[in-house]
Amino acid sequence: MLLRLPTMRAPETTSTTQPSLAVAGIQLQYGGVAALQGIDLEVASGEFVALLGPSGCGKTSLLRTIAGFVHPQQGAVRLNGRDVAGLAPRHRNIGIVFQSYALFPHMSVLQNVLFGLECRGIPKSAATQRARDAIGLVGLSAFADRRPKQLSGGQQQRVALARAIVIEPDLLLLDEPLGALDKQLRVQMQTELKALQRRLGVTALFVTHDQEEAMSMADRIVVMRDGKIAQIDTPESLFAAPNSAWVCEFVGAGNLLRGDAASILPGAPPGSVVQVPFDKLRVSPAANGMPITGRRFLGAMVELQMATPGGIVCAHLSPAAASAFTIGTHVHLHADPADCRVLPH
Amino acid sequence: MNTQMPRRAALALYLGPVTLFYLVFLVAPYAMVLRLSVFRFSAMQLYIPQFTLANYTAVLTDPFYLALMARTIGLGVLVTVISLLLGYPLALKIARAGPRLKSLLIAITLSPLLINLLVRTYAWLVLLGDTGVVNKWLQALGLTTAPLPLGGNMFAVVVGLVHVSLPLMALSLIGVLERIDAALVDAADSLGASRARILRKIILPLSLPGIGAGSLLVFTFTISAFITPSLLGGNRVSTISTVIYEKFTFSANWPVGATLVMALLVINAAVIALHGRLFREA
Amino acid sequence: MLDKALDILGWLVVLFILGPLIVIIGGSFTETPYVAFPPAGFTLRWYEQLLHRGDFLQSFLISIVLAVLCSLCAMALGVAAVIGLHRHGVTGQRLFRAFLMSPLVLPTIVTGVALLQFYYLIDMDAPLTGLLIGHILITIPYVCRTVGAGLVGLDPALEEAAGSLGAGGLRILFRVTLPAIAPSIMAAMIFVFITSFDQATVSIFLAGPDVMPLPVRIYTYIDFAVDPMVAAVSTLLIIFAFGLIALLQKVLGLDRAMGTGV
Repeated sequence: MLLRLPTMRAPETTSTTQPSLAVAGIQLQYGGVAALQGIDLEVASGEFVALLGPSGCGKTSLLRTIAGFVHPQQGAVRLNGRDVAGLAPRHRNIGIVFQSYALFPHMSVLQNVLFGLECRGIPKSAATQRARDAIGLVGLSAFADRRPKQLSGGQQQRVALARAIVIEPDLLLLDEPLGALDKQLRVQMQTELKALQRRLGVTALFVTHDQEEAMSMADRIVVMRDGKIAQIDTPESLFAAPNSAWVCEFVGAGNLLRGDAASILPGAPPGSVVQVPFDKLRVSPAANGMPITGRRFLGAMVELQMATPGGIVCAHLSPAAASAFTIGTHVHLHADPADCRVLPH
Repeated sequence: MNTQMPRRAALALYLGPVTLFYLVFLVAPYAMVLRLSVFRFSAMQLYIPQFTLANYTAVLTDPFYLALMARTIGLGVLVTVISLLLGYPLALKIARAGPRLKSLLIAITLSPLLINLLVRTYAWLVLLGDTGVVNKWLQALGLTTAPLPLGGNMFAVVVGLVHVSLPLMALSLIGVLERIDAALVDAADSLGASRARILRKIILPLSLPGIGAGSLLVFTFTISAFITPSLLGGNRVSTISTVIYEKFTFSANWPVGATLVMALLVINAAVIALHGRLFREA
Repeated sequence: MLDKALDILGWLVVLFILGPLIVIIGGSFTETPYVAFPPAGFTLRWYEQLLHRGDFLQSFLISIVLAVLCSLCAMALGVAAVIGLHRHGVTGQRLFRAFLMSPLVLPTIVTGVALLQFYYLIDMDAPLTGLLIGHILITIPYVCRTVGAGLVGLDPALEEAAGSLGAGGLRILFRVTLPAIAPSIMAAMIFVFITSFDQATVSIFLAGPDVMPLPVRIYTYIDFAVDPMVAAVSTLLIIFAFGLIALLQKVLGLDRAMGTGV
């Protein structure tokens, strides 16, 4: 029997049905400290959503709340319309990939993947077949009898993934799934993980503090700050239209011009902050301007850094255009008002 | 470091005294006792320095000694198993407790180790005697009319030895249980495992090294225990240790006593070797 | 369900561990001539009676003297050995460590018998010295274990730094190494003191009628009478032990003090 791959469920077709995961009004406190303050979130079936935020923002608490490891003081968690708030993790049918992978060290790869099926009382032969299929799916068929310790970090990560998806979970949770891998492997795994998630059509929620990772994998990104959701959007809209200066800065969506904002964008309300994308900030030589304090070659473009009274701002130029500027060159900065957005402070 | 002594001289200075001390007061006395085991017994002059294997033949064929060894090993196994069954829930409790409760429970668990063995044995003597506290309670509650034979027998010895062994067992278990990654339990939970399955499939297998170490400790301690069986057994329970004591004191049969010493050492070594085999990987 | 059952069992085990000690402490105040719990009435007469027992007092003093001397000697021998091993790796280092730890593995009763025979053969008739040697022998492993663990946790760069600053071997030892592992040494000292003070098995073989440490005195006494006076002695010893536990906790933290690792 093949691992039953649900037919591809495109996220958009499910918009009429109920969401796969619905979280409403979650309040969570640890010993008097509020970890989550009123979280509302809906994830469509087959959607891949990232929880992004700095450490301590509550993203892991939210993940653990959905998984059932912690119990919020208030709020509801629904999985495919089923209220799971009172259920123990083992009754929720959620697959989890842990940050440390949490592979059982005394079991082989196969036994690890079999574990969840055994818990469900699936007959041995059918379970073994499904486990082998899942191991094949992550490309580890040759390693089924190895112990986790005998595998590389990337391989362990795949085992953790196979173990989580083999139970055909209603929801896949990933806690910093790629955090322990080195950069090169991480980029490769991002692509693989995304492809696998689409192929299985499983609804997935993953926690990360790395905005690049969130951008490259997620259908939508939930940006969290101080136990609250700061913004939910697709990567593109998040980048193009952050709803606050903090989000803009956190996701690196451009320069924030403070104070002298009005000089660039006439008519901006006082005290507001202006977002100018890095590639839209223009630079021209001017003896009475400000000096360039840094210059970085980024491959396709060159970044120039200038120290303004409101902080460092960056301009991304093509290498050809940047050849006229070196550190110490005095410049003026301009931006087309059409490229600028006013953000609430 | 030009002022440093030559390595050899320094080593001799550091390790010399303790080596000499061990050679004179450990190696030599052990050698002498073991040499006695191949000497002939003499009622008149304690022993005759003549080589014989008669003592070994006696110990290995005489039903009294065979039963003695079997009883001692059986006692060791029994006390080890009970200590494990009682120590495991305690260790689990300690490993899962919050920091404050944990230090309190650790202090309670370890306190017997620091309290005089005689005091602990005496406590059981007081509790388990015919007119002891437990029998008084049982009668006051109307559960029994005649005193139950709790003291001066194997039961009392087992209870006393378990009481002494529990901290050793719990200590070995707490160490491994605390080192089990909490995420493993979360992972098993999320995969649908019940508490019983998590205990059986995850926690128990991962704590095997602690079970092994604790069992070794308790078993070797129990088979060579002397004070507890001698006091709580009321001279009616003999183990290899109590017979060794008797052979070297009242009955003054040193060669047979020395042979029993050998037997005790061999059993000890065998169990240590067995443990090493079973837990080589860990 | 299972968790609940295990939890209750855990509490019962705690009760099993503590119960007997509570009975002894309570029973030491009873007015009955036997230990009753809960105590019948309240009296201090068993404690008073103890004050008039010269033999118990003498045994107590002997045990203290023995424990103090034993601590000093075992520390000197044991600390020198582990520092020697730490500074100059010897070939066969593991074997030598096993040799150092062997009194812990060998049955105490056999060590007692062996020393008894040995003293008889070399015709040594000095019970206090004999006892002291026995106690030192069985406590050296504790020193090696606790202080050895302290040395393992010591950053090697500390000694290298001192060396690079021009300190000689002895100066490094007394100004850097020993102060750095002082908590382990203190803990080992307390440990050795307790072990020696409580030691009964070896002492039973080596004690003489005039030199009888407290545990041996109790042993011979309760072999013939189980009256509340021993409960009074026991209570005092329990208080003594808890004082030492508190001290140990302060010096090193209990779980670390009990930790293993040579």
